Parts: sequence; structure tokens; C-alpha cells
Amino acid sequence: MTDDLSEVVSAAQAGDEEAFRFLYRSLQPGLLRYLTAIVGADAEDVASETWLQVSRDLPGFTGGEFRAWTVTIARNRAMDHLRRMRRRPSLPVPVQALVDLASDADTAERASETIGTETALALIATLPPREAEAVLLRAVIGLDAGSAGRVLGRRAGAVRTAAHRGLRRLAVLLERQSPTGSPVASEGTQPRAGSGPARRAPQAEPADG
Amino acid sequence: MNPFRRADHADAERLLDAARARLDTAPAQRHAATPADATAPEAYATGPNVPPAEPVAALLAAAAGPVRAGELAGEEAALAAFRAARANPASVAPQPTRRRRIRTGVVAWIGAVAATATAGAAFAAVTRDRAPDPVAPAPSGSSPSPQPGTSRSDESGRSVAPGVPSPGTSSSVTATPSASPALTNQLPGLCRAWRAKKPDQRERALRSPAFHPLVTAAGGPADVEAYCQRLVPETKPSESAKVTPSESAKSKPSPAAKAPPSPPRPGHPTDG
Repeated sequence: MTDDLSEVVSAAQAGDEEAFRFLYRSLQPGLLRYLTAIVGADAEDVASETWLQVSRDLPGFTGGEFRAWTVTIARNRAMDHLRRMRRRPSLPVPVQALVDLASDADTAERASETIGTETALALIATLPPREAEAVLLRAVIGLDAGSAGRVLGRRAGAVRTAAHRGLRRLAVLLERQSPTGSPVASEGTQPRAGSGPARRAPQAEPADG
Repeated sequence: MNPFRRADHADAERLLDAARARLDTAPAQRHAATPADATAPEAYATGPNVPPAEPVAALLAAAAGPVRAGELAGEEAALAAFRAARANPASVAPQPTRRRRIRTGVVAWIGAVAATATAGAAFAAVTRDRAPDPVAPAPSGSSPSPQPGTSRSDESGRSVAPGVPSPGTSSSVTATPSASPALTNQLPGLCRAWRAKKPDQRERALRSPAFHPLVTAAGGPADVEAYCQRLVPETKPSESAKVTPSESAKSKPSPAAKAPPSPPRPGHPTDG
């Protein structure tokens, strides 16, 4: 997984334009999604700066995890950008995204499949920054915990913990947004809470935890 | 209802890795596909096709979903950067040419002093009723300094100067088109501002102090049009706005007023 790009990177370093194109297509979507969570609507500009620097510094790339190397550049550019902006942008979430999500969830059967990429990213962006970054680096960029930790300047264990917390928070968020969650619907379309406390007692309590 | 609520680190790692695996299946197809094709739903369907059981897994899968329209919009720009870096590694990271800028600035400044020294009287003659800048030293030639009685009009030159500068011998001495660095920076803006005026007001505008640097840099009121055209070439020139010599001569008894249309211009500070 970590070396899947090494051949392509070598080709790009040798000047193979198609190899570079492949790298771009492989990494850019994830980069853009990650950057959106950090800098919001300016993600495309920061991504452009990132690729400019990747192009320039590619000859100096000495091996290792190319994804992590690229994401590190992207993150530095994003932090520069934030310093320039002197602000941490409020993430463009989501009232509408949450409404859409809830309406999707109402159609119970396909609830698990119909979360759009945009909605998912918007939800992740609501997490505390550390957790959002950990989740995105792991799940969207595709770094393992160790590489993500190097990008973030933290230990792998800290990344795991942050990602885990982020996922738990997302789980809670999803529950709140879909009060008649899909598994329940298949059991018998009970309205929900209060009707059968004895029956759902063994299961996880949805409301408090 | 949500099993992940009780999940441990191992579950989290499993979910995160699953999303990652889903993402990693995509590039192999993307390589052959055009960006437009890559946004097709099939790219997603060919991944692990089992719908995730847990909502969080579904969310992660969606977050790592297929390429969306526009996400690869910068591809050609990135490739252009790649080519540029390959073609000339040094040019991609240009060092700030600070030293060069300073040198140009010094040259321009010296030129400005020289121009002011030699052309002060010419300005006095060209500009109808406006006294030259206070800093203008006495010209080195035999032409006299502007009369002390020359009235300073506020900005439009409504008042007529009682003391008109005498022609002297400086009629052929015209403004050397140089300006201080600070002025050079404002010249494009002055050009735009000047162009923004109505054609019949442009000549008058050039007599106002605000446009003095522009007139100086251009070499004369009649040359502003052409000068701005070179400096800020976006808009096409409007011939109607040209300052006609007869117009300026009408209100000016001095023969020097006829000099501006064809002043010798050694060069222009086009390098900024």
C-alpha cells in the first residue's frame, strides 16, 4: 500500500509526464477533500500551490511515502494560507447538508448507501480539527496511522485516538440525523423511543452514551 | 442501533482501512480514463461492492468516494507546472530580483533629478498656468525661472496666470521621461484614471497636479495617449482625446506651447 506509487514517482522524476498525470489524478481528489476541511472554499487555490511545489521539488523527493510527502506539502501550504487569512474559516456545513442527509435517511433501506461524498465530507469537517484531519488522512488520503502522524507531527497512537474519537462523534451525529435509522426500520417500523424500552434495552442506547 | 458506538480502536482502524482500500482501487481506472469519465458512477461501483453495514462505514466510504466533477480541473495547470519545472528547474523558483530593482530605482531617481533640472522651465512653459513643483531647481540653461507671480491654480487651471513664463531658449528642451520609482508605480493607475475621463475633459485633466507625473513620464501632454497605450495597452486609444497643439496654444502666448507634440524622447522607464 505504501509503495504502490513508487514506480510511478520514479517515472515522473525521470520526466514522464503521464506518470505525473497519474500521480495527480490519484492524489488530487483526496488532497482537495482534505484541504477543504482545513481552508474551506480556498482549497483549490491551495491545491494549485501544492502541485506547483510538488512539481518543483519532485527531483528532491528521496523515497518513502509519496502520499505523505505530498500531503505534508499541502498541509504546510494550507497553514500558510490560514496565517495569511488570519482566520480559521467556519466550515461551510451544513444546515442544508444535514437536512439532505436526514431526508435521505428517512428512506430507510438505502440510508447506508445514499450519503453523498459532499455530505460525508461536510460532516467530517464538523469534527474538531485534529479529529477531522486524522480521519481524512486515514480514510480519504489513505495514509496509515504512522504516516499520518508524520504529516501531523504527532505519534501514530495519537492519530489513532483522534481518528477513533472522530468516528465515534460521527456515529453520534449520524444517529441524531436519522432518528428512524435503517436497522430499526427493518425490525418493524416502530415509531421509536418509549414504545418498547424492554425490547431495545439490550442494544446500545441511542440517545445517551 | 449503531454498533460503532461501542467500537474499539481495532474497529476504527478497520473502518478507516476499508475506506482507504476503496479509495485505492480507483486510481488504476482513472489512469486510463479521462477526468470526465472518472466521474461516472461506474468508477464507484467497481470498488468493493458490498454496502457497508455501519453508517459510519458508509460515511467514510462516501468521503472516499469517486472523483467528482471539477476535482481534477487543475490537471492541465499542474502538468504545465511539471513541464516548466522540467524545462528550466531554476526558473520555477525565481529569486527575488531585489538588487536589480534597487539599481533600476537608483537610475530612475538620478534620471528624475536630471530631468527636473533640465526640464523645469519647459514644464513651466507647457503647463499653461501652473507653477512647477517647488523642488524644481533653476534650469542650467539660460531660460528663466517661472515668474514668482505665477499663480497656483487649485487644480483645474481656471485662473489665468498673470505672469506667463517667457519663452526663453528652452522651447526645445522637453521633459525627459523619467520618474521616481514611487511615481513609476502609480503611472498605470494614472493612465487608467485619465482614460476614465471623458475625452473632452482629458486635456484639462492633464493640467491638474494629479496628472503631472503622467505628463512628465510621457514627455508632454500630447504624448500621454501614446504613452498610456504602451503602458496599459488594454483599451484602444481614442483619437478624439488627443491634445491638439492649437488648443493649448490658443490660451498660451508662449511659442513653447507648440513644442509638446514632438518632443525628443530618449527613452521611457518601461521596466518599472
